[in-house]
Amino acid sequence: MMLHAEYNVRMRKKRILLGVTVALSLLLAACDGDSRIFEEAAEIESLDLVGLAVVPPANSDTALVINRDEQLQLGLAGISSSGLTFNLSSNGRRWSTSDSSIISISENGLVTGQNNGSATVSVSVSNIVSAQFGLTVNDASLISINSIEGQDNLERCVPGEYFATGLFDDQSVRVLTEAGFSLQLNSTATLESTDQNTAIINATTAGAVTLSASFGNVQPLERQLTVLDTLQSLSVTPNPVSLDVNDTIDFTATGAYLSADGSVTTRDITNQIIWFVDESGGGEASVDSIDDDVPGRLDAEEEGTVSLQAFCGADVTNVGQSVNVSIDEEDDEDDL
Amino acid sequence: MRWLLACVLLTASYSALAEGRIYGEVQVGGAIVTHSDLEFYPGFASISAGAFVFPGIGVEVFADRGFLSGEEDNFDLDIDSAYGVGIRFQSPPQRGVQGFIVLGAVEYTLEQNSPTSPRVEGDFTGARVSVGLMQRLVLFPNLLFTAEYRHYNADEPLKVDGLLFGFRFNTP
Repeated sequence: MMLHAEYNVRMRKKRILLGVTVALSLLLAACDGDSRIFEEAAEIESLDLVGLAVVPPANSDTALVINRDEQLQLGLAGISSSGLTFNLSSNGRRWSTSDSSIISISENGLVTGQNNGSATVSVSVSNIVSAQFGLTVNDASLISINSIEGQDNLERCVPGEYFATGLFDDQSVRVLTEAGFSLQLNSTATLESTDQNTAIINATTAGAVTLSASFGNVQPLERQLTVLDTLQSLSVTPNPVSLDVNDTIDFTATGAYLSADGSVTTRDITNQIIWFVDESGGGEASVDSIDDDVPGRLDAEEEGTVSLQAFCGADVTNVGQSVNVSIDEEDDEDDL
Repeated sequence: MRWLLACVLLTASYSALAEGRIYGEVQVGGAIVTHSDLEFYPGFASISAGAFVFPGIGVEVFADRGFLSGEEDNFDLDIDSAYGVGIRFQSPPQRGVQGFIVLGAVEYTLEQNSPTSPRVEGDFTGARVSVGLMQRLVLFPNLLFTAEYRHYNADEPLKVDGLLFGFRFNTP
């Protein structure tokens, strides 16, 4: 009789412990809370933030019109108490829309057209709320590529930005956010990037360049651009240079350009030129060039002398400059 | 959470009646709360009470209260309050020393103030994980000195960790 009672008590305890364990497990699975409010307060304090602004994609019209299911990435700018405007990450924010049946927006600021109509979006960081930003959804088909916008003339090794607009069957002209761009074959220019709706062209040789914009099955549009021969000289700094083996140094290239009024202006063209190392002097070094991570960054590898060459364009008869780099054996003093 | 607390209290009461093995603990300690490259060191006190349902396995409730703000840059941050339930697993004593692990659930409130930005208060529900050691006192066999590392998990990247010291009383 006694044994039976003890057994019952043990079984009951086991059931209770099991119940508590299950309840705890369920609760653990339901972690809750939003730490974002703490981070936002710190962000406001550190940036001295007093205002926010929704930033439309580059080259957009003031009245943004999109199709149903079309997506558009909005940006976010912060305004400090001193009036400075700076970019903020648009990711993980409290974006809101005035009418989610017309426009939906993700917490990363990606807008998607849902149904025809107009709505506004805004974003808040802690207690700071941006002004309302208006968007219209009007489902329409592209009739033709209307234009390729951007400057007529390019200068050598100075990137130029271009974007395309299209005429739609609702008679609206819109920026084509998903247009494709290409250059004619054998062009001395290169298409550096087509991020967002913008094509960035780097031309290295004076002459003519043909840029083409395409969109789906619509007839492509071409535009002739002129690359001016205004680059007068190229200078690299620092010059000359003495390094130890395993040292790294970042060089800067500055181009001098002749303006229409006869004056000369200078531009930093470090990222648009070709860099290479001539090792005939006995030393060894490597340098990042136009397609690498940090153009102009030289790593000294073996003792001797190398010649750093910088040119606008692959043709070495083009404007360029050489820098003598003397490489000594590694200095161990830093390691002591 | 309140329902869970009630359940644990019932379980503990039942076990206490059945076996008479209940315990209580009082602790003070410091926390490290981190977010946005900021690091705060607020102080808080904790009390807990529980009962063993099996040898070495207990169920308990606990409650914390902040008593000191952690300051960093222009902010100060408090652990306003916390409460929860846990299951304690403890080792048999070796020369009066026992190790323990507590796994549980916690609900806590953090408060952040700054003279130039709005006051922020956030409630979090998550898991509690504790590991620690207890040393039985020679003069008072039912009293143990405890040292515990505690982690409250909720919404990353905000992190709450604590180091606590205190005394625990076991019923005979």
